Amino acid sequence: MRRFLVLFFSLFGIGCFGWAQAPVAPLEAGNTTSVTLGQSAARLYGPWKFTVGDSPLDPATHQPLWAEPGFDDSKWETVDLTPKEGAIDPTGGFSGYVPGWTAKGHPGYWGYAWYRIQVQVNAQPGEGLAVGGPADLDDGYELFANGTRLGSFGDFSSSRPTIYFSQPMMFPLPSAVVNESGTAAGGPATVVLAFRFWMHPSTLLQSAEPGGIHSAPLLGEAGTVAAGYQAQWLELIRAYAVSPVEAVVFLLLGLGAISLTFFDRSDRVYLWMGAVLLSGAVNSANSAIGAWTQTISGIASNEISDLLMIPLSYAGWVMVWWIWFGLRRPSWLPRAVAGMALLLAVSNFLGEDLFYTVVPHPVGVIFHGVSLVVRLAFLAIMLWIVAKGVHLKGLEGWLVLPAVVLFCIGRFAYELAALHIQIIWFPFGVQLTLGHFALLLLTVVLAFLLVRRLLTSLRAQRRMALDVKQAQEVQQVILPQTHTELPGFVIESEYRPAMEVGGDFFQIIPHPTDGSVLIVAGDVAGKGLKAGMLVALLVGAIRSTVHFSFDPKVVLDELNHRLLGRSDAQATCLALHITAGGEATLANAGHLPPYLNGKPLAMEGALPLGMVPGALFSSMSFNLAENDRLVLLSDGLAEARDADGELFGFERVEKLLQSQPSGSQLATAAERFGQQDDISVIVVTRTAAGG
Amino acid sequence: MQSETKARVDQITSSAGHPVSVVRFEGDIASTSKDAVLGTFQTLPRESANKVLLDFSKVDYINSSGIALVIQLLIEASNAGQKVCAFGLSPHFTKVFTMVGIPKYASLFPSQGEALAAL
Repeated sequence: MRRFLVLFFSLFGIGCFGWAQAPVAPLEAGNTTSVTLGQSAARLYGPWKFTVGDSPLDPATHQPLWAEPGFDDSKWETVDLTPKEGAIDPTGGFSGYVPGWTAKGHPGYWGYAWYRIQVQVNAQPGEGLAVGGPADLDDGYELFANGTRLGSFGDFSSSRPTIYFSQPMMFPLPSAVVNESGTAAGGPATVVLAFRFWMHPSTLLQSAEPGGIHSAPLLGEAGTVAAGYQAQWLELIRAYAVSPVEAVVFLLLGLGAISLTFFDRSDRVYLWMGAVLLSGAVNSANSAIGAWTQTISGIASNEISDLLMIPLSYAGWVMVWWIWFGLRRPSWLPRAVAGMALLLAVSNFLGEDLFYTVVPHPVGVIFHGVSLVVRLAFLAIMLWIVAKGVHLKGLEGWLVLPAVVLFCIGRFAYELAALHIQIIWFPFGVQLTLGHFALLLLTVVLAFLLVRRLLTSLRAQRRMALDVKQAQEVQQVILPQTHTELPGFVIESEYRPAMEVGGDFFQIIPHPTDGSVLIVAGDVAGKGLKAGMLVALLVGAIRSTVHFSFDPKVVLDELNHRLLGRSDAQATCLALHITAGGEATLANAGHLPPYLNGKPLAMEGALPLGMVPGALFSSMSFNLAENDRLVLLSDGLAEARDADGELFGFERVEKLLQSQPSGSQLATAAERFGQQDDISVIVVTRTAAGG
Repeated sequence: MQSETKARVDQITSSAGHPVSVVRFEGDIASTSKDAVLGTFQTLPRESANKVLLDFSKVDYINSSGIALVIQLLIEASNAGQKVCAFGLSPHFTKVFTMVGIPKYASLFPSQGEALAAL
């Protein structure tokens, strides 16, 4: 089986290797070829005898009868494996290419077939001989010399052999085999070489002229055959040199793209791009491993590529550009793409005959058509997305357009080859397909776009970080001092935001003339910069309101009014007014009621600010006697959570308050337990009345 | 640490034979739970939307933004004349719900049976 899909990048400089070639003269009698050998080897161009089908076994030896030297193959077809001048394999670029049996009277045939050739070998005594198997073939073979099995390319232990992509093979020719047929020691010996070939049905769809031998085998002195064998390996390595380079490039790009998520976690495109590039790396590695080793069979390699990686690649690239250009409509498109990828995998499975003729040929043809339609649909979707991208993002869209067009066209390799449109080139013997050029262009465009997007994102993040820092500084400015002493009161406060900017707020505002103090404490729903902005708004509103009233209810009404109509702007809040004589009036909008000497004040619940116009807030009055201690807390204290999800809870808060901790001690206890939200604590201690 | 909010709707019948929608929440309820909380509520079937139970028995945590969403839901229900009861809250969140005035819009019960009986 010859390799069809290999990707881009070239590795130059792998040299060619040559060997001496002896003249081959066909004999008149018995279709015998005479080879005169010095230290040389000869290509066995023919005449070969050929037939489709498989040999019956000799009941005595259990060896194929068609491998026997005495078998009469005169009624078989005669085949010449002499290549046309400069002929190369259209998919692998290997030299000395000849079309297979489907181009020589057996179109559509897959299965077993036999080649036989009879040669006279005039070897020197003690000279080791070897056969170089065809380096370009479909798909596997067993080799016999005078009825003795020399070996195989592929695993023929079952009736449906395991096959690999074409690779050179070398088989030593045992001297016993040669001598048995020799007329005398040192004289010419007649050797009948027989190849038992097997071709998988899926190979019919993968090249234009498949079937059996595509490059003539080599026979000669073992050292010279070995040199030819090495030269063929170099040719094979050079042909697919792009694949491992491509795998490494994709791997690095994929890891690079994924690592960008550490810089910008909000942008999913890096993960998608990384996943698509890593799957591309797997596909390229699959190509190289399939072409150069026998660790993975040709069918398995094709299954990985056609049933998994190619559908994933289509869907992945659609999603990359969908996210890249920020498209959201139609919202069903990602699901449709997933369905199309699945349909493509199923169509390839049924249309490529990878599992023999489990699917009738007409049905297979239909699914091959479905595969074509799905690929066209992917092409249309990608072009639509890129057109949208051009409309939305201008330059980026234009850069992506040619890469996407080439990528999509490259995916129609079979169809373009059938239309005799050249999509494969072999500069310096390296296979380069249209797909390689498409991916090369795509890689360059991607690298440029990724760097551009990352720089833009980093600039935005720097701006955002600066904004947050400035907001943090502003918040520090608007927070009261941690220790405030007023006539008759000592007020201590502690503030621990969960993020850089907090949503808790409090203000301590002494009355300018009557010795009273207004304390307003609250918690904006949410955290971060948005909550911090609302805090600034509320603090401004509190400062404005106290110019005309210190009444807690008025303050809450005013704050409620400020928040109404703003989307997602709610806050719990309490306002506490304490006169110089210790008379306290408290209004509450859903905030945790204060603790007086360790016990929570019993208050009716009330809606937070910003929920409904004209909300009725709960209120109460009480007196603070000398040494009374009033503690105002935000919910961040009781709702601290440990690693197991257990809440700090109200009971722990009450227990802690029994020891009359400072605000800092309270906050630290919750912080150590597992801070989730902003924590604010205000402790008001009534000192000697009036003084 | 915050887990995604899931919501599903069960249709049951009260002892009086009225259809009742039970919205069962799971996970944490926070600012990101808007679709799960308000979205689910807004898609309740019309025939069983007059009587609604909110099941919080599998909710681990509700932060201030989550509570604001629940209040929004209850205000919408109140404006639409729907009767809503909630059940399955932990003692901690029962206290928090009470603090923010939710019982004015929805009675709180320990179990589904008690909540259903009160509808």
